[in-house]
Amino acid sequence: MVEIDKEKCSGCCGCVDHCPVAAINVIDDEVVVDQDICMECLICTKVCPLGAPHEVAQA
Amino acid sequence: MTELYDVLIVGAGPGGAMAAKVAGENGLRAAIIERKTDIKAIHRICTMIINIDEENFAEYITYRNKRFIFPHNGFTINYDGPMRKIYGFHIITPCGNRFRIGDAIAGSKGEKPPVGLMIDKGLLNKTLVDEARANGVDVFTNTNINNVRKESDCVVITDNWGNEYRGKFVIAADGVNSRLARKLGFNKERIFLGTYKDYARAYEGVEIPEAEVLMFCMGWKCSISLAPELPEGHFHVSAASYDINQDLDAEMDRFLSSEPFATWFRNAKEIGHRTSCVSNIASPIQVPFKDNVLLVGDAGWMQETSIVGAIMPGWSAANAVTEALITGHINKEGVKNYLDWWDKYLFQPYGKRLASSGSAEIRDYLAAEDIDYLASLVPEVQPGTMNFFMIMSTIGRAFSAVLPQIQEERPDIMQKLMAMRSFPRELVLAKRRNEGCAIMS
Repeated sequence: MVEIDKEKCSGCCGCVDHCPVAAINVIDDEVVVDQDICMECLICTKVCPLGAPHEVAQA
Repeated sequence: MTELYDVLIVGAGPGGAMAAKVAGENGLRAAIIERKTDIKAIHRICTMIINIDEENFAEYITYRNKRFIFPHNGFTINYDGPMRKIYGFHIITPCGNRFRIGDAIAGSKGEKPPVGLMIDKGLLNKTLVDEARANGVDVFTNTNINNVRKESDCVVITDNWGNEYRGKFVIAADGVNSRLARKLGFNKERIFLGTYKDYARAYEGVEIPEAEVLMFCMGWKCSISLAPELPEGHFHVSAASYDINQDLDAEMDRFLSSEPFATWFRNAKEIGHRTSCVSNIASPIQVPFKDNVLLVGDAGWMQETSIVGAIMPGWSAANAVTEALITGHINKEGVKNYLDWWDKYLFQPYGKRLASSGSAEIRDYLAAEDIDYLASLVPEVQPGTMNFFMIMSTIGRAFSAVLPQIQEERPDIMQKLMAMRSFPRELVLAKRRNEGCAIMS
């Protein structure tokens, strides 16, 4: 699954815009991945200029 | 059934905020929807400059009595906040040579007028939204609009919580990478020019000579820019590339540890939060209208239509929607004035040109010392401008005048320039398409 590293995230919302299935939203000014919608295409990890979205092992 | 608004505006940047203000003043039942909670917060890279006292999209903006005045279009906007004068645009070569568009030295002595005013864009947006709210416009923050559909009597937009909002018209001011433009199928007809990745660090205690300009530093593996920020001695340095795999961090470090830049930053300390932006760059849209959705600013453009290039369409679109509601033409015909305005002042003079942009990267052809040499050929300061198109034509004019000299002195550099010029655009775009992330439909 994909998570956002809050320390690295600038809040620019590039990943929000690029997500093909609108699985990433800004909620209370934090970028959040909706794991129910995410299909793990990893586009967000490629486009982020700060490397904030990253793949993690399923909890 | 939820309330039917006259107009829903998506995005509270300069374009959306201006549209909301105008909709409120015109007495429309309107709502503006923004995904951030704090409209004032800016997370994307921005130089926050408003071009003044020169032509820009057929407008000639000036600042007086705490207002930006747009005399050609016939409106003003209030701004009472911090400002910094900007005198132009400089290209800085690896050894520190400058190609100057605008005289920052004369400017800081008061001998030349500024061509841009740096402002607090967040404050500008908030001022506009507050004025809209005072005129009865509903403001929904913390709300991500993710979908749009047309029904027989209205447009329905849906947020991340599943709530629906209904409007006779929608103004999409959701910026570069506009989700509404994508969902409506606009992108299928656009030329994809690449995925542009950009990030910036902010520093205090920076000492840069001739600093009241935007500085574009050439000769690096990515595009490095330096820009002043509002407080004295504060600058941001950004690194950007069409290659999404490039290590922007490493190249920025290399830049900051090379002379003369290392000296400028020797007492500097990184501050605040990093800003960034990643854009799918696609050609401007000729007719920014579909299914009663009007696109304004970057949502219908390529990137960086600029603050004024967002405010003016926001103003025009909200007025056109008002006319449509008065005449009862809830359709394309009703908002004809906006589409004509966009075509006349944005698309025909500039949009077409941007659609054919995209060329071989100078860095793939010229070495650092070649760039140092080229800048040394034009020591004269060029007339100041902050108009992107004027900057481009100034560069073109200045260097075409010295082509014979280059041919004479450095035929090797001339050959490289010709090779770059004749490299097929299709191959440049294909390379970027392979490296980028094209989610265009």
